[in-house]
Amino acid sequence: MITGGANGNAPHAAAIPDDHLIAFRNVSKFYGEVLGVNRINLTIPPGITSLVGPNGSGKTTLMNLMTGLLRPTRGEIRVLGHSPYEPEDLMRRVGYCTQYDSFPGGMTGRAFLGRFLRIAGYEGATADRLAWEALDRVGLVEAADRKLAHYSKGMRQRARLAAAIAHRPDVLVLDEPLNGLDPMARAEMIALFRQLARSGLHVIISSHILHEVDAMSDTVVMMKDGYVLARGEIHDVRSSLGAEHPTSILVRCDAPEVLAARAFELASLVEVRVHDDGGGLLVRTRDEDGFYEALARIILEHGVGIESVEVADDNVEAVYEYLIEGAGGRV
Amino acid sequence: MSASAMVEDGVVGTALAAPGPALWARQVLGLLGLEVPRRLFKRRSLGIWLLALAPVAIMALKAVILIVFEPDHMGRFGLPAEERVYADVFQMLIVRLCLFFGCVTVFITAIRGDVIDRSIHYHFLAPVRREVLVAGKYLSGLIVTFAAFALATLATRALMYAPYGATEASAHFFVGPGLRHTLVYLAIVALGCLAYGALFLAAGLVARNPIIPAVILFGWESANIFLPPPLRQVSVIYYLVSLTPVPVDLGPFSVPATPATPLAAMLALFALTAVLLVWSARRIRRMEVDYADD
Repeated sequence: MITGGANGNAPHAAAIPDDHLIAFRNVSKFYGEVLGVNRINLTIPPGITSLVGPNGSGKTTLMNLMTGLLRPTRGEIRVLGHSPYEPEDLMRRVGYCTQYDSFPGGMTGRAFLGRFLRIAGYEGATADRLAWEALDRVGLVEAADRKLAHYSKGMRQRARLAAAIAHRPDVLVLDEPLNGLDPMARAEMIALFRQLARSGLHVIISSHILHEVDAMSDTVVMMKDGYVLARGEIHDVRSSLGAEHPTSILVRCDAPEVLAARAFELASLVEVRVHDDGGGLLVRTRDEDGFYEALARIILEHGVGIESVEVADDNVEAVYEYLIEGAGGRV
Repeated sequence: MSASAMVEDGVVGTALAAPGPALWARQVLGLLGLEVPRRLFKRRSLGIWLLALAPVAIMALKAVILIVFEPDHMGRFGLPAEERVYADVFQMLIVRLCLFFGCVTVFITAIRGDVIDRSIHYHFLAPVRREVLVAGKYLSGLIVTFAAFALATLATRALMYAPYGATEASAHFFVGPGLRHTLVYLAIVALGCLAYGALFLAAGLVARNPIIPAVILFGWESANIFLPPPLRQVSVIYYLVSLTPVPVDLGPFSVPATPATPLAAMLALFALTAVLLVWSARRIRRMEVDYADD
């Protein structure tokens, strides 16, 4: 497994006390003879952590394990110091928005939240207030008194999210939380997750929509076939792949041929290609920092006008594809 | 925003009590608030009300026939004879059939129904001990089944008196054995709900298809009268029937058996209930949510 970055890696995690971490120690889960996840060793610090992988990679299994809906075949899990199998303690601090698109029959959004807060043990007035706050946060106030059965898919998704955040948890586990939401609602939800993470929550999100993961994650955990392939901050995971996969850098400029001619002099360069539209250069290099220094020199010497410089494969999608390259998988 | 940081006014921190009997009681009340209305008044309640109304309809029909079509014969059998007829109706119809299947519909689906509806995870993701969930589900089932079959018992008892004059009926009820018999029948209904409830709650935790244990147990309870006395005691119906105030003639093929004493019958039913509930609580602690299997 590849690790990278402060957030997802052991050195930083080791500095955080156990009761602030979510920790998997050698966890495996088999459904009969079918592998769910295998030999997972993982610590998840506060912030937004995304579980990334195709269907069947073990994301939901991992989430169900950390919330006690499943029991591991072997290994140990601790969530902020609690066992997942003591829901009375654990679920005060954890909210889980599952993928299961179902609700107890015949209830309105408000009644659903209020009733389950009462079951949690909140008194009536507090339960009603918390339910209303949660509905407000997910934008369901106007539909609060409509039957859940009459909600659209996106509204049901938001109702599940409201149920997960209503009791103000420290850990929010979200299984494909953006499914069924329109672009506006997605943006609002991502902003909400960021806001929750900034205030110190663990927000753990599974998604197969990689550009959205890229946009919101502090840390990613990349999974395939029940195994964790890599974890950490995406940039650091990408850097750790540098030897095998040279960094691709797209330079938008007014003289790509000049830049290309000089760039060829750099020993660390693997490939230089003028962009199809003639307005830039695509460079693949094993020494990203060295290339930037050389680029600065070339600009000064030749007066090349630069429009933009960006790393083309420093994102979840590219990193994930590098990781599963050769395994025949694709997100 | 976190549980500690978000409690600006202290409402949440003080609202959710520390784990203990007070919190568990509140959680059970919360469960009752969800379960009882939907099992008494919503779509799920249709089965139990049909089963509860069946004996009422039969007794009503009998009363109507006596009042409307045979007015001259009114009171011909007398209330002591009516008590024997009622004992047959109570044991054969209310307890052996309606209460049995009423408990099947309510208790087997108490947890299994939520698995089939794919909503059990909401319960498991609440900060509630699973044992408390079992207690809440069981109590809500008890309230529902007892309400339905106690009402059915009271209604059928009232209908037994209906063809008779007020003087004769009130004399039998208040001076004769009517009131005592009614209370004993209600107690039998309560004990039946208690024991069958625990049995079917446990069955619902074991069986994916609840019809199978229901049919097997119905066969066993029905065959009870033909079994030798030691085997008869391995059933719920033996102890319930032992408590009935008026004996019933079970026909020439039944094997005679000495009924249990009221104390022994009640102790046996309470013990069975306790064992099954403890087993259910242990079982649900290890229960996983994997709807793909269901």
